[in-house]
Amino acid sequence: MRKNKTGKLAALHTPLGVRSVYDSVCFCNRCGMCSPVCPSYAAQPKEATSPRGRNQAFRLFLEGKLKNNARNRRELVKLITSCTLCGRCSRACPGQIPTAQHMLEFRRRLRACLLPRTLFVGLRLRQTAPWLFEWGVRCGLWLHRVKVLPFIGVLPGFGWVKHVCELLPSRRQKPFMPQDKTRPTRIYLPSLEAQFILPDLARSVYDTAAKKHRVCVWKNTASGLFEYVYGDLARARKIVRGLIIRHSQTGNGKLPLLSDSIDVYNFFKQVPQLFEGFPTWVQKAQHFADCVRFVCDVLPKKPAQAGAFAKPVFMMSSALLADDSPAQIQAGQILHTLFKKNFVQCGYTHAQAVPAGYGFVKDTCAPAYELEAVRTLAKHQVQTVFVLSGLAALELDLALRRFYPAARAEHIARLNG
Amino acid sequence: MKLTPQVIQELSRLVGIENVRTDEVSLSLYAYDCSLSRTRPDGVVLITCAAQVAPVLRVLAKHSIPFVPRASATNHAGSCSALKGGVILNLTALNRILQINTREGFAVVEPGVITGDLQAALAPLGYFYAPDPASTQACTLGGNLAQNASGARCMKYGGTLDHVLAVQGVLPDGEEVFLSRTQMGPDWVGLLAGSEGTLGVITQLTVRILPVAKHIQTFLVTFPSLQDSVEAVSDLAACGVVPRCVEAMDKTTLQAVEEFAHAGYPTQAEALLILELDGTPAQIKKEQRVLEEICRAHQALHFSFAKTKEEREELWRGRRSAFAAMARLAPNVLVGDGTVPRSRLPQTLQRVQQILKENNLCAGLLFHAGDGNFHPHLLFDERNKLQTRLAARALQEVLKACVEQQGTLSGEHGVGVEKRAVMAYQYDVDTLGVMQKIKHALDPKNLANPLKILPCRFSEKARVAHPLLPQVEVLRQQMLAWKKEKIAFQIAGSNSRLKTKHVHVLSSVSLNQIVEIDKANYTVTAQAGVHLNVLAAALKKAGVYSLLPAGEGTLGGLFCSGVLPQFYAHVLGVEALLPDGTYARYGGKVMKNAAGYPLTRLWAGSQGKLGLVTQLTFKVFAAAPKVPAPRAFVAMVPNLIQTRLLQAWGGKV
Repeated sequence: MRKNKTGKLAALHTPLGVRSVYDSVCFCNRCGMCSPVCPSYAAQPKEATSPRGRNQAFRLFLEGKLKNNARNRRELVKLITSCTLCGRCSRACPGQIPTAQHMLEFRRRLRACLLPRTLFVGLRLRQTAPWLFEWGVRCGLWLHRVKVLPFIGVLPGFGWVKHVCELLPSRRQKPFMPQDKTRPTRIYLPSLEAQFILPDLARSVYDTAAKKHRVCVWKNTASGLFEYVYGDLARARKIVRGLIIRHSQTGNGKLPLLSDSIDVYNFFKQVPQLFEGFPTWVQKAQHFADCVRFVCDVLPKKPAQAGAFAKPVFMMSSALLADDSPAQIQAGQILHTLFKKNFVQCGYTHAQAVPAGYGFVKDTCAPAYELEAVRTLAKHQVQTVFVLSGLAALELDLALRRFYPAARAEHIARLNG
Repeated sequence: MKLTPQVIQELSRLVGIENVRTDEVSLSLYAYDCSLSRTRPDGVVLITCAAQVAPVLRVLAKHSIPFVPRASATNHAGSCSALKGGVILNLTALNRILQINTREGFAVVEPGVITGDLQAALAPLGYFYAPDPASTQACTLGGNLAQNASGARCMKYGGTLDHVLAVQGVLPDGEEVFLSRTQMGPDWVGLLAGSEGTLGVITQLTVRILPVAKHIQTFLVTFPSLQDSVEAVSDLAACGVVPRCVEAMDKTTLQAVEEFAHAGYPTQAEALLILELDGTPAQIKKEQRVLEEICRAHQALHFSFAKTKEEREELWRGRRSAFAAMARLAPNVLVGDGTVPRSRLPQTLQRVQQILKENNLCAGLLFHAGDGNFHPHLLFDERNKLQTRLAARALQEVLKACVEQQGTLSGEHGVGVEKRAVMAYQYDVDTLGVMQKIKHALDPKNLANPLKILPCRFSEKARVAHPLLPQVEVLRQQMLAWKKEKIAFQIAGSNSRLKTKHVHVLSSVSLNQIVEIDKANYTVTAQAGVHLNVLAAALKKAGVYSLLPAGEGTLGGLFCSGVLPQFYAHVLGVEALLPDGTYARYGGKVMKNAAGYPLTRLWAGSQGKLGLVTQLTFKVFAAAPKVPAPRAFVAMVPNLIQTRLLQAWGGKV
């Protein structure tokens, strides 16, 4: 295992079996069924923003058929940064080709870090020095409360702070730091946003789970998703390996691990492919993946606050990597049961995903995608949009406040208060 | 040929600098479509508004730069590759539905509208657009017309060709044209169908929309052999039952689909049919009885029908996932598209299986049994050069086998570059020459999608033409003699509508034979000079019915006078003597034909201006259809396209 420090995936676990990345890319038959469901193609209908174009570009890159010059690199980075990684294309694709996974791999091979350097370094601290990260976040939130934070945005390299200021809720909330229970029966791994930005969300999830289980919370714990999406694979693998070991040492080693973010959930479900080539670790990772649960798993049949939301409601699919993940299907079923006719079901062919959370795209593309998503919501006269990750809820809510204030975005866990 | 900075500057001025791409990555992304063909263009122009097309084409014509119009590029023929370099015009941004008029039954759309999007917009209004290619969710309406695409519903409703009412387009020199089916003269809209962007760029379409049938019944039938299934469909048509669609698949595909989609299909059968009947409940019930009897007579192993909407969806889910089921078996799927007369389907499929075996290839067979159109899905890995060559060769052999069975190399996918070579196997020099003249007349600089459809140096490779009939030869000699002496003459039938007082009239009345009434395929082949009354009597005697009214005039006269445009869609094959003395033979008994320009539409309503039609093959039915009344004869006013075509043929007839 120690030797596996490569920044490349050895193989992909696709719905149709384990394949090398190149094999997987070559399965694209160029039929174009993916394009109409792609949010980026809906906003800018051209080949460079279509999943087919992305796959073909990656294939040419892998085959060495594109010259290695600055202009090509720039164009390729543009091409991959326009992908929201939502995975809708895989569902529409006859061969179920995981284009989002290809794009992540393409990012790594191009060494394209999409985040501003300062943000990247800041977020990486969570893994290297969690205490420093926590202290930094607390300082940031305090600066936000005293309305000084926006001024940091004028510093070179800190432009992203303005966007963060728009996302942060104005009211003061204590970070979510509950006491651990002894002899736990369930583990809760709060996402970054749930722990620091939306602690009431984390508390809601915790309280709901605690009604039936003894919950142990893995506080301020990196999931490896950030490194997987923006950093290098070796680091992501190291974090996940740590989580697998920690999981095996908690309780009987078989405890369900609860996540409030579908992005983290989908990532955890796919961790076995990180260890491809190391059968023992693949097995361990598979066991870990099998133990991962989404917050819908603990939601009661009749959540307390379900009646409080303005109708009709809608579920926005902004999940990373897998549009048809079991958690998403489960969430859809819950909403359908609760709201019946007031739940607007939108076929997956409607390209309405918004680049939220980890589906980060370059600033130049994001507004067009947001508008496309808001247009879909306005078309259906939606009042409440449920999303499955806190960060996505914040991002989408911001877009709605700007373009369609009649609607609100909420995390699905809010159904229970 | 690299685009010069001047050209880039001129184009940028028209469409914006961000919409003119010449970087390597962009060029590579417009080098392919869904076929094996890959050629990098020299530039890509992203069209964002229909008004930009004409000025852009004028700039390209000024600098003699070839161009290829392209939308979703989902075709299987290599129609979108820039073989001579030049510029790709990306039209996907022209994706607005401009008008839906349910009262008049039409929709006005831009060419980049995805067919599925139009269907989705029409569904809440209770309407639908009849052509339904398998790639409905991805292909565009402009692309459908350019390739003359059709789909499962073609048997009853026809292909794209029959559902486009008007087209706005731009000729390769930047001249804007508006072509409508209400105009007298040849069916120019029909001629554009299947032109694959070689005659210009489509910028707007008016398509026919139809009310959704309230009652649809879907059936699933399995047979012990492919032959039984095809014969059952033929017998069904012979009994006057025209299903809304008839989809079929062989055992290989059936098993792949069942493994993939779990649609509940019986996997023991050798062939499976999915049929749909629509109409009134009483009509469906009556037709269902006939269908069941026929299927039982052909040893049907399983006969069931969907009782609920969900069951119907479930039956279709399997068929729709057939491509997916095949696509997961190998990295690449080469989809063929041969069409033969329905009665020839069993022996053709046998030959296809033999070809696949000889080339050691695995393939699934899907076919629209109703119109003799089949799609072998050849599985291969593009990275394996030998396998790719084998697949390409096998496909060519399959298409040649279709031609040998009086079929055509393409029913709905078009020719592009992949089937170009087989065109020489299907058509003789004169027929290919007509197509070349059409192309040359409208695109003298050969800028619009060059090197497509027509095979290179076809004069050396084209099939040997059958000798002309003596009566046709006489007419030809007469025509050439008048031309030599520079005597103006008029082409006519029995002159019942044209009523010309011209001294020199070249008449088709000497061609008065009914060549064949084929009850297996439900087609009739008759010479153009056959009197309509005689034809009606002969058809009645044979127990078949056509759309033609009995009365004065000849068959050719009725077809060329333009008084019965509803008949155009029923004409499957045509033979004609051209003003330059060449003799073209196009089509035959095949229900659909996307191989080359649809020449039947060139002479339809041409009023003798573009040559003398000598023979027609057209559809007939077991039950009498509602015969429309012919409209009054109005002499046509030549438009831009016709003027150019006449010039190409060497002047006025």
